[in-house]
Amino acid sequence: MTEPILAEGLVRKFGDLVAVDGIDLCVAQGEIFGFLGPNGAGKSTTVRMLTTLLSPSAGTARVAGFDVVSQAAQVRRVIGVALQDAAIDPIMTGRELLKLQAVLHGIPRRISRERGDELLARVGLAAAADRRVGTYSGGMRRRLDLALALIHEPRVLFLDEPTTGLDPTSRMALWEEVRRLNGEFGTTVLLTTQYLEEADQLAGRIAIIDGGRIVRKGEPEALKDAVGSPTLRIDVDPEYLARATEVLEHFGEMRPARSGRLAIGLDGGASRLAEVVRALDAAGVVLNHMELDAPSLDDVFAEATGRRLEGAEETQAPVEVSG
Amino acid sequence: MTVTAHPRPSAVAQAVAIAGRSVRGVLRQPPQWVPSLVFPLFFNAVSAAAFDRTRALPGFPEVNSFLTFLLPATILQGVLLGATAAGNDAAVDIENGFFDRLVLSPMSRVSLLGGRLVGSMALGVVQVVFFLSVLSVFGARLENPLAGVLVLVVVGALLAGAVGAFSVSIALRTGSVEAVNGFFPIFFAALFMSSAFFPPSLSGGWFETVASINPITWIVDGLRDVIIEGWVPGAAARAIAVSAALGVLAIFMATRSLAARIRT
Amino acid sequence: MTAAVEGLGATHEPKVLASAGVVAWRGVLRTTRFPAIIVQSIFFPAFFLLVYTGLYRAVTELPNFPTDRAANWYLPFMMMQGAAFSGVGAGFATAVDIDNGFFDRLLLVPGRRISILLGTLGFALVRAVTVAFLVMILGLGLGARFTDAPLGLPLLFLGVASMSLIASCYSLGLIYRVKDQRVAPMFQVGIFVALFVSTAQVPLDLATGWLHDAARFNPVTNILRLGRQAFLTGGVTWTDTWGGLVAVVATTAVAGMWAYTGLRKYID
Repeated sequence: MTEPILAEGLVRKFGDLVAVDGIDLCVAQGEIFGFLGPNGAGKSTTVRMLTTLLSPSAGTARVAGFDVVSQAAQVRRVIGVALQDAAIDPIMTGRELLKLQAVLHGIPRRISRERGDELLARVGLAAAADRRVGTYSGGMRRRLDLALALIHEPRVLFLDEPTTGLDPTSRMALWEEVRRLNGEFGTTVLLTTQYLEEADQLAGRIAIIDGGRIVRKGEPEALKDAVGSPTLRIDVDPEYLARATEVLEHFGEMRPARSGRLAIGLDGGASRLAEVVRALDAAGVVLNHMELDAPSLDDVFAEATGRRLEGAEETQAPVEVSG
Repeated sequence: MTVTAHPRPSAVAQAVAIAGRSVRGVLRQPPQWVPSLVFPLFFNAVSAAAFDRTRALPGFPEVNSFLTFLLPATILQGVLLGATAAGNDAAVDIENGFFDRLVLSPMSRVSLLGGRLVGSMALGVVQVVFFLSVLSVFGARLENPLAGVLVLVVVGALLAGAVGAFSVSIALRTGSVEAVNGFFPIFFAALFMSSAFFPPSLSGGWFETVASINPITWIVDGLRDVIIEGWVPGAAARAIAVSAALGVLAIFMATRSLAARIRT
Repeated sequence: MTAAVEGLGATHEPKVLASAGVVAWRGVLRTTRFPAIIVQSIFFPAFFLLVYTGLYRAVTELPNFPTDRAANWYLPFMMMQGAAFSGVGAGFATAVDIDNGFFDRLLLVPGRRISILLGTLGFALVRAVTVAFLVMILGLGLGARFTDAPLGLPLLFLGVASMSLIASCYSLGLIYRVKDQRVAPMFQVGIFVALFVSTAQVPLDLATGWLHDAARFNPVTNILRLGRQAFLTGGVTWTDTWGGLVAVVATTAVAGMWAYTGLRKYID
């Protein structure tokens, strides 16, 4: 059986801007594959090419065995797509939108009505089905968007930042639904996200994308293990920064950290924590806060790109201390 | 620690500041003012070329060209299109909260309103000068250029102030850009149901009756007499007086609307 | 529920006409929920018909004017103007869809994407013909009288339909290429110029100067000539018909290609 998603050297340019710069992707049947990266990394652009909404500038891609350029119509028959901005018409009702979607997919009315009711119940929108979508909350819109993506039982489901802007409860509910689709029906899922926890929780494999390129690829646990040492983070007042940096450099490699913080990969792990505290104390450094975390996907991203993914705007590079 | 109290700026200074902001705001958005200059010229160029032969109809005023006949209509269309921008801007300010900031400032109510209207009137003057310059190149003629320009500029400014005040009053009542734009067709309809585009005496019937009671007809006829015959004090006075009266009415409405908005 | 091995999407082939039909159905739905849109579409041509028949009544007194009733002269133009601006409405609606992302959902149509265009045009046509019919009723009330209804009426509505299609395709072609709502005023400007630089207001031999020259080459002049035959002295003649038919077919085809190629390039 051909892989559900296969891309080789995928490139997309907008004038001089190279949004996607040579992406290779292979997603296996029944997999949930996560595409993790910050805003502007090229995630949505890649998804748009794979779903035939944008033509590639170079490279090839096949979805469910069909070429996204020359067999675009066949691709669209077997994929379901929930885009970053829930693409819904606010003056139509949920049921009307499902009807529209079903007809566009050529599904006969007798089947589509039953299927629509089933999907509405599944995503918890049965009671709101005949209300205008303009009255729905953000979470309800996303759930409707998912239902619309599923009406035709797609083999491959593309979810572009499906939980951005949702409250934690709605997010969890959506995760549950994705797991169920994958578990019960074997639907292959490609999911883009900027939330580490989402990628960690849902995806069997992930690709980390930055500046239009994949910088790391693999299973989340394996990627985290490859980072090696846990991250030690300390908060100190500005007058102690230089001294603290000098001390910490003896215990491991500096890692990118938020402004006002220092972070290192602590060689030897938690067993050396007491040593670090004694060394900082001996140097006269006053600690405000200290924490030790197992490697996270943020560490994986930081190691690959030199920046943090979460709280990216507060990131600073490790402080250079001369002398 | 001492606190320095700054002297409250004069109402004039405040009004000038608001006027300046109005004018700058419009100038920075060509889609706001370009149509008000281009559309009247285009529409009247087409109408003049289409209806020029009607000048031969018995009862048509003696003009050298249909463009001359349409001069008042051109100016009124431009003023109408341009001055509704004041209402648009006011509605946008209300929608995005900037209006509340102005109200909370030491700014006097007179300056708040007056500034916007002065801005509209300034743009109205620019429009009149622009139209006269362009149309005179294509054959429109003023019998007494000095008198004609003076009267047209004064009436243009007064009407721009009136339309501006009226559209601002709608903005203040509704707080909605859509509502302000919704009134534009009404102004447009009023302009068409007048002597602006064709002599009502030749139209006859119900149209002549409606046009005769439309204040815009009184303004247009006054302007046209000055354009065609030169300095006619009575005609000039009529045009200016009616425009001023409309202005006073519109300012009264705007003041009441402002008071209502600040109270709620 | 057991999962189909192939999935409903893979086992059912969408039909172009059915897809176009449901896109058009959506247009009907939106219109019934925003009646202000249709009211506005009728109000403007109705108002201008009223004004023009009153204001320019005396124009019919000019020598060789092809009718003695102003309503006879202006009614066909107002019907076509209403149809054209209804067509522009299709462009506005699509601009909103592109802006809020709904257009992507339509682009994900598994069948041929031309169904999106056909559905949009179909609805615009229905709306245009409805508006034109209502304006015609008003015009008859204002004194317009047929001189050749059996032949003239179908030709008039052919002209109305073509104006709707031309205006829709022009607007859609523009928005497909620019993909930004801010281009929307250009829809109206383009159509307004095309409508008025013609025999909209007076016959060709009464137009003077640049208007006479430009109107001769404007296909709208021939389409108006085609449609006005229902109301003018002499009724329907082959001389006035063939030029209009050529203009209808050629202009609609060119506008159609403009829209279709715009849609095809949308994903580039």
